[in-house]
Amino acid sequence: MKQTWKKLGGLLLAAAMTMSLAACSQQENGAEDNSIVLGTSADYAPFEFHKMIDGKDVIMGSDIALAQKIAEDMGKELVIKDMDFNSLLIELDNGTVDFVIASMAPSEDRKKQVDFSEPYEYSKVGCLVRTEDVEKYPTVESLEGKAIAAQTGSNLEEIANEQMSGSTLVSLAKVPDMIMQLQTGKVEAVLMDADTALGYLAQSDELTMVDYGLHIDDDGLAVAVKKGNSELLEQINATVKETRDSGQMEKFKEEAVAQAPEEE
Amino acid sequence: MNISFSFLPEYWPYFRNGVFCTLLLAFFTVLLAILPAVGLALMRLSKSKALNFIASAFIEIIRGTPMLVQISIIYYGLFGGVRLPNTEIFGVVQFSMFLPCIIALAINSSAYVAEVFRAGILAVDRGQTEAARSLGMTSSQCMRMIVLPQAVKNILPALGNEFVTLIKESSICSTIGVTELMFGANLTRGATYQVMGPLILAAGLYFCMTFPASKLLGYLERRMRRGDVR
Repeated sequence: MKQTWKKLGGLLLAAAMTMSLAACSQQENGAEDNSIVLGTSADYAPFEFHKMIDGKDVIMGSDIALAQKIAEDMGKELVIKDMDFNSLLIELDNGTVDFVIASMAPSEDRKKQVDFSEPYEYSKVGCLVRTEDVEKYPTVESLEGKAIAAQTGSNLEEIANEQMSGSTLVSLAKVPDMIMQLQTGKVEAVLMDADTALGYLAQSDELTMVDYGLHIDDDGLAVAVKKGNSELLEQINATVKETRDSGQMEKFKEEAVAQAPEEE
Repeated sequence: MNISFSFLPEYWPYFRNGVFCTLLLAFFTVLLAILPAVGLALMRLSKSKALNFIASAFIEIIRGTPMLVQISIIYYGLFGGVRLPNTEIFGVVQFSMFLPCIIALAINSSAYVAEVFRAGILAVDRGQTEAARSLGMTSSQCMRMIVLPQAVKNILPALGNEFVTLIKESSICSTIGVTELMFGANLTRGATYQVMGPLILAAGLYFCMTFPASKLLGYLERRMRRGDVR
């Protein structure tokens, strides 16, 4: 029995040493600080998503291309930190990330917490229903009393509340979960960005995009920085304006759509 | 609903690394949780009212609040202002996320394991203590040399169960961005627009981890009981 204790102690010691070693080795190479950290939530193709390229994990998409441009213009190296969408603004506030691009709309509530750049692109609303129900739900009114889904914390949630107020909103954190609820008949329609919706359409004949004439009083999508960090914001704004007005942002989007995993 | 696995060739590495990361989380959490758990269990058993109260309060609070809340508080609160190194450990997970995660999991786990230990210690026959004390051992000697070794035998299977539980519970770390199995499944769902397949694969992989672990535990349990038969 005594030996069991010894072995256990040995294991613990080994574990502790591994960790302290890991801690040491870092402090040495953490010195150089020519990097800028992007916070994003990379589960939202074609804006930001993971892909294996030559056996290496890469985060790409139109938002990432913009972030890359921002970093380049500042002469810094881009470091990407991937996390849950709801955690992004906390990390920004904590200073663990320098800026956030995650197809985020500058809503009033968010503006209280962080500062936003000028919009870098304008989003289009896509509304998906099951193909068999297309005729059943020709208008927004036909969805009255029915359940619809939108992503938690997105501006589409507000649109659902304001322009589809007759329907019951189911608010979900992840877009794939919204699609699943639609496919299994838990909700009758889902609202999402039109570009993302097109990706799901390509995957499944069961879904169809419908045009209800929903409109966003568009603040667009913008880059977020920590409140009061006006120096960084100015630099980002310069890049954003140039990218948007020169049409380069659209090019980023086209590239991202082409790179996103295709249907079989 | 059509379930497709066409994401597999391209996205399998995320699942493979995810499995590895999940196992790392569970393993280091168990290691980290053992010592505090022993301490808590002994505090619960001690005659000192104060120690007993502290341990009881801690255990009740941890067991009475959701893991999701605990991990958020620890990661964003406790470690919020701390800049930990971003070193990749074992090539799959960043230290700056790994450490807060295993600490949060270990705090949670230690509360449960403490109760396992306490039950294990109480399960050792009182006669053992009485015999040891009448032979002139002090109560700490008796605890160290007579009771604890026997308690370990009662405890090990339950401790193994905790490992199995942790494999599943560690999926909660995906919410703060640890690249474990559930995280891999979610990023695949977001990238490939295939919503069901990755979940099913993740479930299968979780089962492939927990099932052999619980089988192995069953074997160990039988093996240790062999000494009981006279």
